Amino acid sequence: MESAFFIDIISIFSLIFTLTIIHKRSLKDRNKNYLLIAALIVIAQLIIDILMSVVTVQSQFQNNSVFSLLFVMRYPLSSLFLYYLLLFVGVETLQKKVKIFFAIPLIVDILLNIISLKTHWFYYLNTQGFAVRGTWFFLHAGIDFLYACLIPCFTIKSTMRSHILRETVEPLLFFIVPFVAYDINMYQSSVSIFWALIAWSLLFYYLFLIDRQFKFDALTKVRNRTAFDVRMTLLNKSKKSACLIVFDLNNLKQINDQFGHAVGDSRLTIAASVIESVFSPYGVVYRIGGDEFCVIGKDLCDNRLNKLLNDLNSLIAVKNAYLEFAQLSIASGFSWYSKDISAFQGFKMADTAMYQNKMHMKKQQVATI
Amino acid sequence: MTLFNHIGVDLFAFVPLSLAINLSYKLKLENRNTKYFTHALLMMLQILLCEMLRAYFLFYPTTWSYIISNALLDINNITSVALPYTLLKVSTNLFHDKQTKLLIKLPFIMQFFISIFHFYIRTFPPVDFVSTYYLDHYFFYYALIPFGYYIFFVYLDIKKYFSYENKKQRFPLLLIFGSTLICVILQEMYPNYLITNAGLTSGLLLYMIFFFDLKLDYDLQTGVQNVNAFHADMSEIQLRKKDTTLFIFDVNNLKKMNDSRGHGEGDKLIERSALCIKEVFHFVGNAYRIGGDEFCVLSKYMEAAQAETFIDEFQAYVSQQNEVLEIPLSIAVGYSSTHLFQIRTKDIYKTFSEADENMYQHKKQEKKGRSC
Repeated sequence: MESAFFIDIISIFSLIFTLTIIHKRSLKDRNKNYLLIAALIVIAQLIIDILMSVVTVQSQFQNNSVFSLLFVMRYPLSSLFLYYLLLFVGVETLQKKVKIFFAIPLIVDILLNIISLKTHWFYYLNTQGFAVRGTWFFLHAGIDFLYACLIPCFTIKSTMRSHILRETVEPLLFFIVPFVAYDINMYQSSVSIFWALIAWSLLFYYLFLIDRQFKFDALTKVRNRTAFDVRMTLLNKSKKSACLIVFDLNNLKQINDQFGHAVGDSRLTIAASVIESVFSPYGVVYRIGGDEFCVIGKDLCDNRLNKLLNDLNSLIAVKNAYLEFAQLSIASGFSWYSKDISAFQGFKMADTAMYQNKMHMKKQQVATI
Repeated sequence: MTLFNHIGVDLFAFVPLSLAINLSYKLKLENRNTKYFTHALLMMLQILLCEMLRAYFLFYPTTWSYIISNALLDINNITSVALPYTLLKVSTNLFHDKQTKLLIKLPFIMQFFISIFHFYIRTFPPVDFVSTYYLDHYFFYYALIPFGYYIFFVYLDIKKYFSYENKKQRFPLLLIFGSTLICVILQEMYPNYLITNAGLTSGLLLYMIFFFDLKLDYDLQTGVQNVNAFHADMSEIQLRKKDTTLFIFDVNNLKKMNDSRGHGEGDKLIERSALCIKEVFHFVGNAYRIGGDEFCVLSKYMEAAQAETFIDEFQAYVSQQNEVLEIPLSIAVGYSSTHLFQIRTKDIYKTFSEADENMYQHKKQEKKGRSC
């Protein structure tokens, strides 16, 4: 018996734990079913691994057709796992037609695996009843490799927008582990911890996802107050210079009272999307209060910032043309912080600038009436 | 039996360990109390390294390897007590009281001295050194204290998390403790492999994830659900158009208590009020903590008379509790009911503000009554 046997057992427990936790968060992740199926497939693979190590030791189970079939199942199951993971990662970008297109290699792989029972292309059964790689095995490996490369691509695509390096790099680390494990398996086929490593990286990936969910505001899809506080403390330590822009929705309370919370929520969402579309190339947007947003951005100069704010105002005017009632109006103020000023002081300055802007806007409104 | 096979599981344990260290870094930024996790993880790292080193010396013995491996074992014995001791700090608030603090610390100190003593008595009368299962016959006596700590930790945790209303976190918690238990059993069955500590490492990571996941939905201080869960459930009610009754509770005098007697007393006040609310409204609906001193209960629709009886029952329960307590509780309650199903345009948050208004009126009345 190998130590991989015990590793598999520990990994199965961790995966069952992951499954229960995914299952618990029912409302918030609509696409969780893909991840659930993927995790179930990994559990099946781990059980097959354990069975294999038991059969190796105990000869009375060898050459049993049921066990042999189970061992053969590993190949199509691995493609299936990767396909479901791909669906989960790219579910926002994939349309139905594209989904079917991506399923073609999977179907080919499964068919070829079934045919291989007779023709021995992918594998053949040796005298002990184990499946051994056949001459055309590289085809199956190629299909798996194709999927395995597509998954990181989709992940990068979805995380590219964030400007925090940590958040882009972290999910990629998750993909390095299986590749390393695959290499180990290629050179030393006796150490079969491939699926155990996959199990742990799945857990890690899920952790990454709930961490993101915790950082994002459910309504407006921008980062929330918690993320903002963490970022501010980090910035204070790092002593880099950058700019802070604070936004505030005018009249949100009136809109809520007059037209109901649903309308107020929709205005908030519009405001967040407008701010993000203008400032996302330059910084990260946070929702720091009920009607307050903040952008932490690169060190931009005065003129550039004013130009961006003008862009924002013109975009709001465009949006307002479509809104029949409860029109948007956003007050803004900006400030910088550097080595001399702490991030919190910088924020305070931006906040006061915003309030001045708000007062100014109110005066203008009164004047026009 | 090769060295690689012997320590293979421990080697693999570095995967969960590194994940756990990553997670503890994330947790540290948000919650200071979780620094104990980081300490526990560092101890785990030390235990794993010492264990592997010891295995190396046993497989390739030199003249000094006997003493070194004994020293490593004794270091591990000390750390393996310190580990559950630190974990205890995470999950409980037993550490306010000075006497219990000492009582919990006592076995730890005992183990520390026994380990040092043991190092000396074992080195001079040398025991034979042939068996591959190198935990000697003193081991079970040794393992008793850390095992006791673990059992205590598990007992406290089960007591704490099983008192939560939502039953969904019971299974994961049992899974964590079950998996570590199975690892210990496997260790007994296959003494040629090092399994226990790897199992503990993975258990520790799973426990941290459990903690992390719970924090998304629960207020860990009081054990009721938090604002995030409240808003999620409110929007679900709005979506499904369920008929609801909303109760709002406000703990009076919290600020005064915090200022005059310190935050410890204020925390106790909050915990007690949460307990009272849970006790009475347990069968009615879910409780949420929606502010520093504000709680809310969402329940199925009930008529005004029925709601009033519940509130009376609640106030009676509070006054019954007050007879025992030094600091009397006083909680203002307001409620409001709505037929969302019939009146489709109605907003659930409007009901919320109605209930809030009722609660404030109740508070005013109470203040008036006291001043009279």
